[in-house]
Amino acid sequence: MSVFLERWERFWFAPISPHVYALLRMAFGLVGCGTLFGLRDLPTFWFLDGLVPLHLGAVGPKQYLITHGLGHAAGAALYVVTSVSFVAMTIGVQTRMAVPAALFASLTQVAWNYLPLSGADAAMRVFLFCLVWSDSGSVWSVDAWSAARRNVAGPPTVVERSSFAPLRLIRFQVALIYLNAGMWKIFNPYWRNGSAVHYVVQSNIYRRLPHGMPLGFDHVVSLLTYGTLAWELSFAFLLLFARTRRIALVAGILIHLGMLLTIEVGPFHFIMLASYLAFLEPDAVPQLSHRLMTLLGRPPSVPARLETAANQ
Amino acid sequence: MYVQAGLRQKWNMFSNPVTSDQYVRVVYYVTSREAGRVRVFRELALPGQPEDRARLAHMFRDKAILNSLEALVVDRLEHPEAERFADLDPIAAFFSNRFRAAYLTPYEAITRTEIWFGVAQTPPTGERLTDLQLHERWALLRRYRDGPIDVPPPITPPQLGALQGESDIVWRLEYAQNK
Repeated sequence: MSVFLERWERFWFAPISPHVYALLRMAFGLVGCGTLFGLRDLPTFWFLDGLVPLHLGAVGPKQYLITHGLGHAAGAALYVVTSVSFVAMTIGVQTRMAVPAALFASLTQVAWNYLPLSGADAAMRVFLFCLVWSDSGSVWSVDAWSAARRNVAGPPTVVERSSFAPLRLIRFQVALIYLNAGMWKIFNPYWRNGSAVHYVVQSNIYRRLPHGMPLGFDHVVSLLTYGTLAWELSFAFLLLFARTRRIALVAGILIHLGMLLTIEVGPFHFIMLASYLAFLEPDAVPQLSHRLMTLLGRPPSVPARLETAANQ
Repeated sequence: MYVQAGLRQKWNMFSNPVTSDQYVRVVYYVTSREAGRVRVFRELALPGQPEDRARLAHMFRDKAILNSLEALVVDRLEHPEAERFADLDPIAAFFSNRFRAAYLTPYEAITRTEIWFGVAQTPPTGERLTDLQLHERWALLRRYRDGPIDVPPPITPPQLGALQGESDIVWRLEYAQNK
């Protein structure tokens, strides 16, 4: 029993490098900023006389704001607050507040106007919900940089290791998204007869190119239908072993990049690809940064401070 | 609480692929106090980008329209007895306001707004539309892109569910609001 409890404890709460959380924070933040840039048309998406449902979500407050002539001001304020929270999260300013603020702003946006939002935004919200439980601002953030500047004469700052739990939650969340998507698809006849991807890439709503996919590619498209279904259904199980995990993730990257080139579905591929960072080996992430800086010809003068902390 | 906070999860994207191209047009009935006659204008709302060119950017407005239509479908299934659904109100209000600001004088008013949902069947695997069919449809869509089309007013306004054909697009009246 104690072995089980010990494994359980280690699985969820083993201390890991916080760099992976910082990386996820920046990646999710960038996708959030990009989405908000796409939604910058305030009169259309944020003002209450725009493309905004008044009969759903926060109906009372919306009616109150309209009655008092505050529909535009409130919409603009919500956009500014949401943008500020995502920018602060990305660069790591007041990170402990910025990440929950970005989550709260995203949830408020659903109540305000869910219409322009898609699965990408739903994914963003559930990933942020996992990320709020981590300390994602202790490294690679303005917070960490300013703390180091303040402490320039003192002893080297020791970066505390974080709990594995939020990272595990993000990994489970990614697996759940694909498994759930695969289960929905398997009940549809077009996915079972191999024609689903054909209809998606030919649709005038999704296709990137005017003619969709050429006729000669229909067999490939059929193969892609079954391949996507198999990959989504098996993704969660492939994650269980290190070797198959790599296959699942590489296939995922290829599928998302392929879809990015052929169909237009907004920021969904970006948020999913960003979530793959959660599968990096946490303690290898500081080394990745070290290698990257060396490659760029700017080797860090001080080796990752985390290692110092871990070895103490 | 997790769900109520807005974290409900439903990952059914592309689980039920649509087997037709989709369009939405908004029709305005405009009455002029000076001329005392009704004019009818049609405007294409969806898709927001020309489909005879490559699309690089995401159009959030298109997503908003598609989400409204999906909400209408769900509402109709869940409340078959309801006489009116508000799901398309945002589309009607937004496009009417925009049309009024861009094209109408202070002496003109929109007296009726209609929203038509159009579909053009996607050929199954192994088939494609001919160039002729495709170019005929694109020619129609290009006319819409030049701005709202002035069309002769009908003798009586159509009822919900009415059908119309244009090129290979079949339009169905989904929403009508008189003022």
